[in-house]
Parts: sequence; C-alpha cells; structure tokens
Amino acid sequence: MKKNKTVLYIAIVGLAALFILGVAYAQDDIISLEHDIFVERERPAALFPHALHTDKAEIDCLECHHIYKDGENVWDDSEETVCTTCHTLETHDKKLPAMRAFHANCKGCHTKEGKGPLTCGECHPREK
Amino acid sequence: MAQEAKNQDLPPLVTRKPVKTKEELDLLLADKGIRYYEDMKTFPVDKEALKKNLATTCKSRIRTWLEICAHCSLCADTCFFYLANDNDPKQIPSYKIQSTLGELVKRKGDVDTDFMINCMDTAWGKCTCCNRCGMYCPHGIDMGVMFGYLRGVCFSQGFVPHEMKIGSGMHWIYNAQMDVTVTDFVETCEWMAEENEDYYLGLTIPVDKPNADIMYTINAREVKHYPQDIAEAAILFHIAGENWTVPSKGWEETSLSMFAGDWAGCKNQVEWVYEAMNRLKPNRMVVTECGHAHRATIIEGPYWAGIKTGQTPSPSIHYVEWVLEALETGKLKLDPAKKIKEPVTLQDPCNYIRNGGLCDVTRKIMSYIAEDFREMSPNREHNFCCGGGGGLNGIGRYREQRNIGLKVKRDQILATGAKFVVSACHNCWDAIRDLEEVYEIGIKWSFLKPILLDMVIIPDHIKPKEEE
Amino acid sequence: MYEFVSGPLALISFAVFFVGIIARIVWYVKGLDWRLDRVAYTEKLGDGIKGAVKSLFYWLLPLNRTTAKHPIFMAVTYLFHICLVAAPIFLLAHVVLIEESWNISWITIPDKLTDYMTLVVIAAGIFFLIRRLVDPNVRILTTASDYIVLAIAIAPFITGYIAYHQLELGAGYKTWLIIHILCGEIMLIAIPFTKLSHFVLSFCSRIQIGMDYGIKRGGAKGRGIAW
Repeated sequence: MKKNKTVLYIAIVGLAALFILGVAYAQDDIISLEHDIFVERERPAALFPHALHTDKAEIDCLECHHIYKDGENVWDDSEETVCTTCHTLETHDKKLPAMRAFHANCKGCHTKEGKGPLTCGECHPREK
Repeated sequence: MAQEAKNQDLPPLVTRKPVKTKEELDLLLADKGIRYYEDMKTFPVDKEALKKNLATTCKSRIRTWLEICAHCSLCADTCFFYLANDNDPKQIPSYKIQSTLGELVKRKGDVDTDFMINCMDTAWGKCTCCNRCGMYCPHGIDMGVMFGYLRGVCFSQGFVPHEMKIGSGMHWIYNAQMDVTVTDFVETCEWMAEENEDYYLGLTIPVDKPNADIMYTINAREVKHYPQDIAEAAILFHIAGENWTVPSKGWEETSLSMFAGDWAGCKNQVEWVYEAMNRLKPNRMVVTECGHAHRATIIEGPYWAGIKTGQTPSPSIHYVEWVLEALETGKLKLDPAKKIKEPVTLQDPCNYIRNGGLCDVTRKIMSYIAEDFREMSPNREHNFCCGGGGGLNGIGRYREQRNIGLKVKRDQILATGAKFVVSACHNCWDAIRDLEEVYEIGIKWSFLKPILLDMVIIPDHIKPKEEE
Repeated sequence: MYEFVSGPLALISFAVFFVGIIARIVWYVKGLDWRLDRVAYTEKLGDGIKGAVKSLFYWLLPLNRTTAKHPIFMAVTYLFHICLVAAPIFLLAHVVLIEESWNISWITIPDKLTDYMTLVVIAAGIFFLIRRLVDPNVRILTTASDYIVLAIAIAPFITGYIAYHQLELGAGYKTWLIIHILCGEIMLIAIPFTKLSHFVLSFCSRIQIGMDYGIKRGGAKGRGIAW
C-alpha cells in the first residue's frame, strides 16, 4: 500500500513539473492560437509555430503585429500583443472580426508567398 | 407471299392522313381491322416527318417531364392498369411513357414499324389518359398528357387503332362520332317530341332557336342508339321551364378525334359547335351526361380552335351543373318519397371531375336523390378511371386488357356494398355495363336523367288532361 | 492543385452552374406554348398563379397524398433534399471561403449539425441505391444514368465527411480535400446538363402543372388540383 502511494506522489510531482515546463516552453514559442474569445469553436484552434515564422522564416514582427496611427504601423513590443483585444468576435471600429483577421493575415501571406498551408485542416488539424 | 401480293393491289387501309371520304370510311368499316392491322405490320415509318413533328411540337414541357423523371416508381400504384395486372412493373406509367415517347424523343424519330406499333399498343391499350398519375408525381409529371401527345404522334404516322381511325373519319365526314347526319338528328328530335308530347303537354324540342338561355348539345350515340335520352333531356328542360334549343348544325359535342390524336379533326369538330354558339347566341351551352365530350368541347376545345382565353364562345356547363342549379333553384322539384332507398354509389368521371372540378356538384345532386349514398374509395379527383376511358371501350384489339382493367372499378364498387351505380358519363356507363357483363357482380347502373325523371314532380299545367 | 481547384476551377463551376440553370429556366419558359400545351398561361395568369402557388405549397411541404401513401420513402426524400441543399450552403467552412473570395456571407449552421446532415444525405443515398437494386418497380425504370446521377449527388458528401474529419484513408487529408472540392464542382457542372437539372426544372414543372389545373382543369370551377 505504502509503496503505491509513493509512486502516486512521484507521478503527480512529475506531471506538475512537465506541465510547468510545457507552459514555460509555450511562452517561448506560441504553438497554437488559443484565444479565449472563441467560446464555441467549430474547429480546433489553429496551429501557429511562432518561432518558425520569426526565427526560421525571418518574417518581420510588423508583418503581423500592428497598431495603425495615421496609416502607419507603430507597433513595438511594449504595445498590446494579443490580437483579440482589438479584433473581437464581431466587427467594430472598421476592424476585421477576429476570424477574418486571422484568415486574412495567415492565409493572405501564405497565398502571397506561396508558402505555408492554405487548407482548413492544415491549420486546424483534428486530434488523432 | 400471295397474301402480300394481293394486299398490294387493294386500296391502302393504313394511311398517315385522316379519313375524309365516305369511300375510304366504308372500306375501313368493311375490313373490321383484319387487313388493317396486317398491313400496319409492314407500314413504313416516315422518319423525316416524325423527326420534324417532334422538333416542332414536342416542346419544353414534355421534354422536361421526360428528362427529370426520377425513375422513382411512385406513380406505379396510381395507375389502375398496374393494380389490375397484379402490380406488373411493365404497367408503371413512367415505364410506359419512357419506353415509348421517351425513346422516340431520344432517338429523334429514328424508329421502326414495330416500335411504332408498340407505341400504339401502349398509348391506347395501356393508358386511358385519365391523368391520375400526374396528381401523385412529386415533379408534377402528367403521363396522361404525354400519352395524349403520343397518340397524336402515332396518328400522324398512321399507327392508330382501327376504331379510332374510323372515329376520326366519322367526325370529318359527318361532324359526329357516328354516321349521324344533321337530318337524322333533327328528325330524331322531332320524333322524340312527338312520342312524348301527349304525356307532357307543350313538350317541344326547339331546333335552332336564337338567343335561347340554353343550347343543348349531345352525344351521337343518343341519336343512334338511345334517343330516349334526348326525350328525357327535353322533358326535364320542359318541366324546369327552360328556354332552350338544340342546334341543327353543331349538336355533336363528343370527339373521337381527341381519343385518336387527330388534332386537325378536333379543331374541325369543336369549331362546328362554336359556330352554332356564334350563330344562335345562347346564354350558355349545356352538354349532355358525357365526360370526354365536356373535356373536348369545353376544356380542350377552345385551344384547338385557337381561342386565347381558353373559353368557349358561350359559357358552357356540364349537364350535372344544370341539374344542380335546377334542383337548388326549385326549377326541378323531386318527390322526397321517391328518393332511392337502396345503397347507391357514384362514379366520378375523370374528364369532368379530375379534369373539370365538378365533384362537389355531383355529390350535392346525390343528396337530393339518394338516401344511402356511399362513396367509393378513393373518390372525387382521386377516383380511378372506370377502365374504359380514352376510347378504350371501343377498341377491339385491346378488349382483353380493358376487361382486366375493369377489375379495379369492380372492386371499388363491391367495397361500397351498393348495387346501384350512378354514372353521368357515357364512357363510364359503358364500362360499368361491360364490367357487369364480364364479372356478373349483380349491379345496376344509370345516367341521372332516368333517375330524375322518376322522381320529379310534374307541374299541373304539363300533366295531360284526364280523358272524360 | 488545391489553389487551382479552389480558385479558378471553383469560379468556372459556379459560372457554369448559374449560367446553366438560368439558361434551363429560360429555355423552359420559352418552350411553353399556350396552344400546344392547351393552357392559357398569360390570358388567365391570375388563376395560373393561384394554381402554381397551391402546387408548390402542397409539395414543398409534405401535404400531399403521395407522402401519405409512401411515408417512409417520402420522409427519406424530403430529408435527403433538405440536407443536400442546406448543409453545403450553410456550412461554416464554405461560407468562410466564399466570404474571403467574394466578400459576401450569410448565416451558418453549427458544424455538428451539418455533420449529421451529411450523414443523412449519405444514408438516404444508400437507401435509394438499395431500393434501385432491390425493388422490381424501380429496377425496371432504372438506367445507368440514374446510378451516375446518384453518385454525383452524394460523392461530395462522402468526400466532404472524410475531409472534414481529416481521415487518412490511404490518401491523407489534403488529397481528400481536393477530391471533395472536385466532386462538388462536378456536381455543380452536372446540374444543368443532367437529370439533376430538376433542381430548378422540378419547380418549373410543378408551377406549370399547377397553372394547368388552376387555369383549366378544375381551376375554372374553383377547385384546381386537389392534392
């Protein structure tokens, strides 16, 4: 009995450690666009390997991150970074609704550059 | 071989033209269909004419019906022939039309004699153009209409049953479905008036009276075989005090041309009647207790005659409409004590019920004349064809099929428990008579006129004076 | 490949579909002939419209005797058609693609529901197929084209189901998606040229028969066709 409990404790501690590590890693490279404004999702959140875009593809931050003032993108990394703060579910202040903003941003670039996935399921894969 | 050689010397019986002379007609009548159908087996198809005919007359309505048919078979059990033939898939309306007109259109008329004979045998022997299937098709495909069209195509190629060829010829020669001339008709009217004037004082059959309220037109059979029907009509009009007349020319309202698919003949026939309307200017025309005549002269006729409104020159009604009007206005008063006591049922003729909307009229009449009226099932617009419609009663070649088809009506009548069938239609009347002859189920049948005449209260001024 | 089938090919398919069905309707109406059909379409337009409305009403809703007589078949048929039309039109992914391409959009229905609707279409298609193979009444009427048309109609749903659920099935997601789009485009293109033209012509036919009964057969006596 006692031995069993010990195993359980080790397992819990191990899992917690993994979880913390995972979160820490995820902060380093965002891998999915889990925005909580999408309450009732029709599809799984889109995969987005941030490092792949920044480090490997060397895409400028301003390609995606933006805050426009007088037609100029004035975003810098001290500014708001969460897309859905401005791009809400429904359109407002002439800003694209969140889903369209993501699609326009991601698919638009993939199409233009001829790189990256275009089909629904490639960004929104189902759990196997 | 010898037979063929012999036939070649004889005048042709099968032709692509309607019969328009007495000589041709007599030849056909004398033949009784024997050499006629023999000759037909080798009668060539005029493919060019057929192709042209289809190209100019088979338009989007029929082509669409043929194309979009889902081959779902929902029409199967709507057809009395299918039911009477133990659910034979070959009797499914869709199969019947697809294998004939459908193929014909697909092949653009490139078909042979055997194909056309099969078309004929299907269009007349397996369909009475009752239009019942069309009411049940989800797409609204009316196979009865298409068979009517196919009959016309067959007629134009000479592939038409013997009796239909004769019937169409009769209309061309006599303006009637039988060899009844204007003189025969007028004399029969005079005779009937004379026969009955002693029993109904003041009874006349006014011929060619202008501006009458009613112009009455009839079926040639009434002149030829049961003139009593004309007398009954006259007596009832007289009792009702109607201002009525019959036209000397334009008295025949039936159309075997319609059954034959002889469209030029149809036009010719209805124009004869419409001329009488234009000449005598009656307030309205009443047609006798006939179904197809009502369909031909009132419903389809204006289109053959090229009248854009689809209306006859004078408003026209069926005899049952006049009867109901006379009963409701009290022009005819029936003795309630004489109401039919035994169970009685009613035949709904396709041509003025499903295709004429008069089912409520006949039912109201039944409430005046019958104490125990029993509906057939199904009834009204959904009633089955009597089994002899579309000319089928008169075609010897399909007698056996017709008799099989009668089973459906037989069983419908039996299920009511009534032994008396009211049939205000010549064709239905014949079919019911024949079904009694074939199946002996012990029923009686009658037109409305004799029933009404039995029950009507004769006003005193018409009653003959007692002899002193 | 995906870019091609979802781009120019889709545009071509939609163009063929829309131009095709409009042409079929125009051809149908132009082919109506008051004298040959023996229906006073224009002279008695009022009666005709009444008849046509009645005809559509009783058949768009299951208020006809055929439904009463064949409830199972007609229930399957109604469900099949409703799902077949509604699922692709109101599917979120389709609406999103159309919105991103042409900037028009409309309401959508939840994926879960369209998923069930897809299964209904497939199941009904199998029902029709079995009926064709088994029922002697249907068999005698069946031609090769009936099978082809049925296949064209349900292929987008089978492949759509596979693509949506990202099932591998030997080819993988992207291939199935491309096949799905192609199947949909085949269906769109086939509609004007095959029996599938009943998509519009069935309405034409129902309107015509309604006018026929409304104008002359019984219509003049205020009954029209009694469904």
